[in-house]
Amino acid sequence: MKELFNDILGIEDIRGVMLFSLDGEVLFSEFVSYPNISPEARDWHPLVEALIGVREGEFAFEKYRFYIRSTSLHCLMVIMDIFAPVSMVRLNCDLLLPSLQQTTKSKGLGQFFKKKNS
Amino acid sequence: MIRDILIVDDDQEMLLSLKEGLEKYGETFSVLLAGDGEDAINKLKGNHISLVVTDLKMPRIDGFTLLAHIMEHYPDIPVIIITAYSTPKMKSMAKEGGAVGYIEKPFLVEGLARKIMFTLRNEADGGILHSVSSGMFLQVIEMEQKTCTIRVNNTLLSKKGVLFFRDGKLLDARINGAQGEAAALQILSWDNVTLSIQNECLQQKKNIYGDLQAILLEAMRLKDEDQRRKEVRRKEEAHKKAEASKREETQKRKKAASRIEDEKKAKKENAVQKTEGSFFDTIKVKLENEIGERAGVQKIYLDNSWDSFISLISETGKFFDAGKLKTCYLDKQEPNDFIIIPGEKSTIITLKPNSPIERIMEVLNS
Repeated sequence: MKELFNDILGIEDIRGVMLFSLDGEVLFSEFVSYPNISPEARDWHPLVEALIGVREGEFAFEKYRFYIRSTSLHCLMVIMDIFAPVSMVRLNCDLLLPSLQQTTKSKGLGQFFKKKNS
Repeated sequence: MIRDILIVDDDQEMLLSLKEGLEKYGETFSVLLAGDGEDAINKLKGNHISLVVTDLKMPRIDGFTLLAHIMEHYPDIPVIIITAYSTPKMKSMAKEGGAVGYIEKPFLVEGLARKIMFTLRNEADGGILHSVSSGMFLQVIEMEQKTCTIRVNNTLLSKKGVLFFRDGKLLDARINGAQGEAAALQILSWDNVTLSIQNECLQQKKNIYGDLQAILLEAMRLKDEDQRRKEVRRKEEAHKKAEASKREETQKRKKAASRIEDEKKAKKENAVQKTEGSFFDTIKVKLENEIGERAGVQKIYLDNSWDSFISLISETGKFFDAGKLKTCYLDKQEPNDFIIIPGEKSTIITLKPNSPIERIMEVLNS
């Protein structure tokens, strides 16, 4: 599954990617040089629920930026540095999301990642 | 001192012409009118009359009856009779009845005026004393065993009274229609009065039987009581006034505090509006300068309905140690996209579709 997000994770100044189900379950997470992060320790449901209906979002903080894409099945969050090329991230997401949808429709995304993990 | 005299006649024309004719003596006396004896009795009750001029033939109560009434109840008031039907018998009856003058009609007004003034002068043939305490003076009268009629004028209370002494004994007293000891007690409690002394006692009948000293003491007691009552009333009024003033002061303070509060609020609102206005202008100018019309800014406004969303995103940022949230961009698949700048109230910028989001975010975060 890491391969699926490799393109995004390979973009300059990208710090991590998280994929959630609409229930707030963390389906995938990968971080690049990001110390002491354990995403499972957090309840992501309120955030995901708040983002339902948001097709695309960007949250700029002092140190990082979060790029969000939602579909009818998932919510993807990309964590990046301030000067990361968001347009590149958007483009990669445009390419990745349809294939994610497809995968989920055929096998179920959770199952897909489970297989990869096992 | 201007005295009031009462002219009684059932002939209205006569009354009016007398009043008009006597007007030039206004510095000495003023004229009251009565249409008959009954009217005169009523006027005597309510006024401080110094002298009565009366016709004899009148309906209801005639002049002789009125004369008798005056001699009985107002023995100090001199009466002058005027009549058109004079007979020696009537003249003699009038004199016996106590009238001080008898004038036959027709007569000259000046003649009547002279008679009135001569009679009034007699009221003070024993002298006039100003600003005295009646109690002190009356003790002297008693000691000297004087016979006199003393007219007491209390200018402070606008009241007049009369005291009758024979051989130093208080025979009677009168205030308007009231006589006897009750009237004496009232008169003797007055201070700073003017006394007009007439060297004869105009009252024959004894109406007061108590000792002058006892009456004086009782008058002092009543005076003290009255003063105490007045003092209590004065204190009560002062207390009420103080309370009212305190209430008014509190109200004023409250109003002032409320006004200051309102002014502060208005200033604050004004300042907030100014701040908001200038903040909105800054955003607009910044975007227009950097991006121009392409920025597609439609509206900028404050909206606190985004607070919980902003709080959730901020919490997420904290988890990643991302620092303070600066701006949010959201495409909610609505006709407009939104940019939210967190604050006490979130500032919302609505954008046209296809606005250069990346550039706008870059400008806003710079």
